[in-house]
Amino acid sequence: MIKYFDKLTDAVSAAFSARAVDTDKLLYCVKADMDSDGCYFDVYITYDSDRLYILSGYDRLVRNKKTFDSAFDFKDFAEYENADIERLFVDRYQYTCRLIAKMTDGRELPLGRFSSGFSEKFEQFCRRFDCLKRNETPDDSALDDRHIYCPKCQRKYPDPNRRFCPYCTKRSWIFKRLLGMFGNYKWQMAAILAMIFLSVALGLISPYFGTKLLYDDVLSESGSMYGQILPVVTAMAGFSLISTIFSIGYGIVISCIAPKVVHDLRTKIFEAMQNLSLSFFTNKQTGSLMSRVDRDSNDVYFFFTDIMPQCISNVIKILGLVVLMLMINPLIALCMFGIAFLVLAGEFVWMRGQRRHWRNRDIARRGVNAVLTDALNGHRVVKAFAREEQEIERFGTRNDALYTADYNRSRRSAWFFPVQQGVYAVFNGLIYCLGVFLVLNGQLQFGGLTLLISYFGVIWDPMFFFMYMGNDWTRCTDAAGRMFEILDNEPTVKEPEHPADIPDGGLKGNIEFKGVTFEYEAGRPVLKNMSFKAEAGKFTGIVGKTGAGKSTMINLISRMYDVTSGEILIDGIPIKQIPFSALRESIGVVSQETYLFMGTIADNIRYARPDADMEEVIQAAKNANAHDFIMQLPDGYDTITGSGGISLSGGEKQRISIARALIQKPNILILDEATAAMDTATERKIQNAIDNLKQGRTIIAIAHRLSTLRDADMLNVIENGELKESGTHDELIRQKGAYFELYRLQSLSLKSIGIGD
Amino acid sequence: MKQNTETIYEVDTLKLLEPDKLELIPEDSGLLTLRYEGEEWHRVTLTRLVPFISGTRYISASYKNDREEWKEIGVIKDIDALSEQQRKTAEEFLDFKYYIPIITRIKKITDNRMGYLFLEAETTAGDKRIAVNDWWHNFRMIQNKMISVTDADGNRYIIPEISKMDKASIKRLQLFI
Repeated sequence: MIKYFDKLTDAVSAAFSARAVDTDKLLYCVKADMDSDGCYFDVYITYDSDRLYILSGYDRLVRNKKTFDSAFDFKDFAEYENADIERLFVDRYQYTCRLIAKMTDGRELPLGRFSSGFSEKFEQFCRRFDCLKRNETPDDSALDDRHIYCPKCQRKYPDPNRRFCPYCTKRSWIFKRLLGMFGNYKWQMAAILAMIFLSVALGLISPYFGTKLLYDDVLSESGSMYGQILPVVTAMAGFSLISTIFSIGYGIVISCIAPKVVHDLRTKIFEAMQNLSLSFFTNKQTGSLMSRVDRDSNDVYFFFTDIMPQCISNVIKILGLVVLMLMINPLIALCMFGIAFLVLAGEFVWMRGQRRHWRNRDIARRGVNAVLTDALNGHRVVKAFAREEQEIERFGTRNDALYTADYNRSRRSAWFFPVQQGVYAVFNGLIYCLGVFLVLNGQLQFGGLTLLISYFGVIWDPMFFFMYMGNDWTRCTDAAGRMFEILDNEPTVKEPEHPADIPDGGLKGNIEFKGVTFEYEAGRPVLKNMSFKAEAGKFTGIVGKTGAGKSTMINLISRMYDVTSGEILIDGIPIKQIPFSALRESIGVVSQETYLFMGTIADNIRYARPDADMEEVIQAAKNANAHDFIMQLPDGYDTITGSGGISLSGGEKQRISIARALIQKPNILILDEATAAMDTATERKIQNAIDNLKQGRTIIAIAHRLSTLRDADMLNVIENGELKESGTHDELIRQKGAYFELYRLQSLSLKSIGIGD
Repeated sequence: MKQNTETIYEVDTLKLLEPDKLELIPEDSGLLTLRYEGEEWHRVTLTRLVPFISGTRYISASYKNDREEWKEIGVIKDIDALSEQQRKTAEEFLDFKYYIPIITRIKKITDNRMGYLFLEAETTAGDKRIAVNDWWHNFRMIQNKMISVTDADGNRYIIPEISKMDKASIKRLQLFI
């Protein structure tokens, strides 16, 4: 039964069955999306234990009352004996790929063409076919954790690590989920709604006293309250005051709840980010992630504290106004609604056009900012190459574009609003005439007319609010959607469900790679079927050219990523069964990329072991040869580093980073070009420090300068992701292989610049 | 000694291939065989060095060595300078390698799905509903006239010249470019 990679629809299954294919025996299936000419076409490629089948045609959906049924327009069918196929492989082009079958007679048969975005599943399909050829059972555990299809609409998720389907999920779903976060504040929410209702209702009644009651009953001799001004004025002021008090009340309650909800959301997101795998961070820009915690949470906060209460209040206001106005005089009320509709419709049309101008302005502004950032960040280069004039010109071009965008936008506004006001004034005048006519004919009292005019003035705000609220709603749901994306994202590297027992004292460091293959991108293996051992307590060096896969090996040992195939064992335990805490406590990494957090130098050194006392901090700094420069700083170990702190050189940062790894006292110490940014004398000192730490510790080191690895107990030479040679320095020199060549070239290059023997 | 030092610091220079000395022969593998000045390379690929500026100028010819590293043989300045047959071979290869669906008409753009933008488009490969995530990054204007679209699956589409599209399509696009 096919579980991966593309599902067979009922119609496709029927088409296969019609050609005597037992679909229950099919193992894996992929769907190519093009024909040989590059036109969209549906090609199902699948196999069972004996044969490979290719079915092509067009998938269709046929409406069946309220549901859709699948249909398939058959075009072609082909089948091949698995025995005749040597292997399957993906032939990549720039934007498309082909699945090729290398036949046992040497021919290469193209089986299907597809868009390059689908290459990963085809690579995996090929790998599984290879397993079948070798009579091996493929490891599908990595696929089991992935969520490929939306259970509701059956379409593929764009991101298998995020169970979110943009095809069938409505925007309101995010809003409902966001509202759900207010679930702990039900009573407060009920109080808010009640206060908003009372505030608006009282606010609407208030004008009645100042207009209709005042003119028709108090000031008119025939009025029921003739001359009683004080109670009317008191009632008017009282209603306004109580309305304002309720308004303040709900504002206070909201301002207490909304920040708490946003605070909780921000905390959850940050916690979720900390649990995500490294691959998530390498695929996202740091700035974009930072904005999710910062700007997006502010957008959500603004919506709930500002927009939501206004929305509720304006709904009540509009409904109240419509009822009250119709009650006073339906004819004038309907005329007023007609004018309101015309004005709003005009503004709506104008606004749609204006969106384009705003977007143009936004793009132009980003263009100006990009040149500004470029020129300011690269000012050294600008000055060094005397390109000031060109930069001014480049900025001028972008600035001109911004001016044009601004001018077009403003010009459109400049004529629209006066015209709108003019049209409004004309229609308003006509309504007044109608009102006066009705008053003169005794069909409407003067106070009623003034109350209607007063209400007509009030109705605009809520109407314009709803017209422009769409942007705020979109901004809020987009922001919340982006935040939920992080919350919903599942780490690609997961904590073991059934962790192995790790003995006291942690892992010793017997590391074994068993046929490890790793790909950051499908079909482009960085490590290829690599097997090697690093013994506990020994110093293992990894040597190779840039891009050979050395740092990837380190990432795999510290389980930043999981292997694509094969296995890594530490002390005989599969790495996937070792709890993260035990793994991280046992492994200390000093990498090329050093990062110092905001805080003192002492805090940075004791980052991995906050309980380390000051003596241990100083000892680690001394071991890392950092003590001498730290004591020269005015604030010594209390010197603030990181954002806003003192700026240290690359070598100084690196030494603090080494001290940070040393204080952890890990059983396995990994040095990834740890001394690359240092001069030879400093490097030698640190090397001595590392030598001191070797006792009882497993050290794995990567270095370009082979001299630093000369004393390694074992050297592994990596080339294009493959292990080429292993042995001690002397053994490898005697072998005269890849290591010898690298060593010879380095010696020669050092000699040519006057260094070395 | 001197020779060794030179090997280490050998400077890579641009080698322009002379059109009249060059011969391209299609292979069954889909790649090419290149003959030039008495030498012959197999499994050769051609690469457009300036694909957005010109599809026929500055075409690099390279092959994979034993260490699976791509090595450049040289650069053809303009394939239009090749003989008719050779030009046809190079063009066919490049057209296949750089095949990309061209968006000819935008029927509808829906922008309301939590960071996803849906384009209902007519392309040279047929009708397609394209889901674009994070359109700001995956909807890129190139050289002020061309748009490159990358969908949620990582597939690419292109609009080579926006001004040549119909007015309705341009209007729909304008909010996103």
